[in-house]
Amino acid sequence: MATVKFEQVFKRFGRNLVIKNLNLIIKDGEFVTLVGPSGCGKTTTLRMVAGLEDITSGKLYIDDIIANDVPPQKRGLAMVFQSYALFPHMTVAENIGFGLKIKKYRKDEIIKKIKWAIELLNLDGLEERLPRELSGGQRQRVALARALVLEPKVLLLDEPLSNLDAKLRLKMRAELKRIHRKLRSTVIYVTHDQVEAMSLSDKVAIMNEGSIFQVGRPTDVYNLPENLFVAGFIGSPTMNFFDAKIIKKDEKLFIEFAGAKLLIPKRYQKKCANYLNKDVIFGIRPENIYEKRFSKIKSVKENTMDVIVDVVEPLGDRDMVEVTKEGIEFSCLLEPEAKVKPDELIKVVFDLSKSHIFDKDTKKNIIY
Amino acid sequence: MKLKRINTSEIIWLIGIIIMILIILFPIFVMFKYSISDRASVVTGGKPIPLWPYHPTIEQFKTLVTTDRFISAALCSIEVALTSVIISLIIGTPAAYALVRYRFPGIMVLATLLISVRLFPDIVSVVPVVEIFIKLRLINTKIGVALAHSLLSIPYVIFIAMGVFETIPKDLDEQAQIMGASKLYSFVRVILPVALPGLAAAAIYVFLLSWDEFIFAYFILAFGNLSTLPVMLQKILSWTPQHNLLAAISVMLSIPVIIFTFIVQKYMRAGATAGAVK
Ligand SMILES: Nc1ncnc2c1ncn2[C@@H]1O[C@H](COP(=O)(O)OP(=O)(O)O)[C@@H](O)[C@H]1O
Ligand SMILES: [Mg+2]
Repeated sequence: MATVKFEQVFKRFGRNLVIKNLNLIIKDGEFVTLVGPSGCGKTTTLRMVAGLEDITSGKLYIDDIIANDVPPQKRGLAMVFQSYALFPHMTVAENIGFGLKIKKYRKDEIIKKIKWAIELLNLDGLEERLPRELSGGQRQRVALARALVLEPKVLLLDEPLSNLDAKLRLKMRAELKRIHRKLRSTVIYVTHDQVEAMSLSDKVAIMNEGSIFQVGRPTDVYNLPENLFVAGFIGSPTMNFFDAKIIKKDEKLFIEFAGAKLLIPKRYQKKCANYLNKDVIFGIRPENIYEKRFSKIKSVKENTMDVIVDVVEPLGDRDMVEVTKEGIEFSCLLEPEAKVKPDELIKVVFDLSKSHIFDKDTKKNIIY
Repeated sequence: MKLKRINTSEIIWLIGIIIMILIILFPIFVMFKYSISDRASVVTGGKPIPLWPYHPTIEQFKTLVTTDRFISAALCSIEVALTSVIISLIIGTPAAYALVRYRFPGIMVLATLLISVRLFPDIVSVVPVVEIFIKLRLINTKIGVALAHSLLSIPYVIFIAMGVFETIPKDLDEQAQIMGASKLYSFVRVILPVALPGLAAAAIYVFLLSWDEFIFAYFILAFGNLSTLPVMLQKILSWTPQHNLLAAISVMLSIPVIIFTFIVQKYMRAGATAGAVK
């Protein structure tokens, strides 16, 4: 078990700057997820921790020791590749025992440890199978067993669930959570799937174009995104964004968009003062917009608007409703009991205490 | 039951294929026929030679396998071929691995240099090679012939092996290294076993090349008392041999090729890397 720390890390492939000033601290026993769109540098970051890619500049600490030049063999980490990288000519047991053999464990110890890993990952009965005789989910578990049996300081996982079908993915997600709770090892997990990141991690680091845009607990990055990218990336369905303007009326600040003027909550008023009469981006999640009769907050003139229903998509517990107001489209998650129909005129209430306002140039969340 | 209707183009294809097979098999048939012919079926005194011998016999084979000269040549050939396989794989395989895994600029120049020995006709390159071998006292030795054959086959081994290593995901090397394996350990314990089926093809190639190579073997062995089978065949041809005995030697020359190919083919099964990735 160990800590990992990135300090102003840059990584360059030829002329291509792939990681830009990465700063991140991963505490002992923490499950940290790097999440971001494909090509943003997640795998590169993980490979730098593993020692498979050298670091162009900056420092990488493992357990407070600079690890930049430590070869992968000496780092005491384990990694599960997206491809699993099982050794095809070795049985499940041989695959799991490979690292133990190199580390010169006694034979009876190796057998004991293999057995422990087999049990931990429910691989009983598959010991003598070759990787090609296993299903995708089983291969994934073997790869995980092979990594865990080494009791690594840090476990690195690169999109380990992305090759599984949806059902198996959910099952393995729960499995990973169970194993982490049991072993409490430091885990760095990479995924492009924000739902996976949110449900698994103690801490998520949202990456884009080689930089970390925000680090925090899943609920924090969800409730208080630091910038436009994080706001749009985290959460499903995604947040609605509107081109808006901050205006003043009766000594109070309003946000004006789609022909409506909504009152900015008291505690945000001060932060928005600098943006008076400026263009901003207003953001609100579909679940923070209610149908008037089912509203969780009191409907007043300053938080309600008339919209026309466009499309209704029942999701079961909620209806995903696309609405338009003066040609501007957005979506809301409404109670099915509201029974809204296409082309119907309805009143929706915005919970502005859960809304966000972004600077149009810096893309920063003004109310963060 | 309904028979699938065969159309004209399929018939033409079928006939074409049969003709091609016959063309390929005909010389083999002739060789085989001669090898089991009695003397009367070869020396017919003007009458056409029969399609099948009057009295098939294995007399020629009996003669061969009881002739010391033939046996020692056959053993020499086998020894030289196997030694060539070992030498060229030991040198060519790691070289190919390095070329694939540590790509560097100028790799194509290097690759071209590697095959440059073969850019000249053998009869040209044999002279400098033999010059060097004389200095190294490798003339008239089996190891000399094996080294010459390795020289000829290493470029091909490298090319075949490079193709094999390219199909093995780098993830496997890297996984082994993260688990603590040195580069050598991961090459020997992970990459080589996975590459084995593909390398078997290279082994077959080297064996065949060495088995029927004549020019280098001849220049190295001509003035001694060692002979590989092709060299011995040449020596026999310099007096007037019996057709049927010659044919029997040809058959014997083909047999080890077939046997070796069968043995090694076991390792050439497809899908050896299946399950490594995804
Ligand atoms: N070995 C490499 N050589 C050159 N460019 C690379 C290499 N590996 C990754 N890249 C580039 O670095 C960027 C980040 O890649 P990667 O870390 O694999 O992204 P992610 O895992 O987030 O999808 C991509 O633009 C990719 O093309
Ligand atoms: Mg990746």
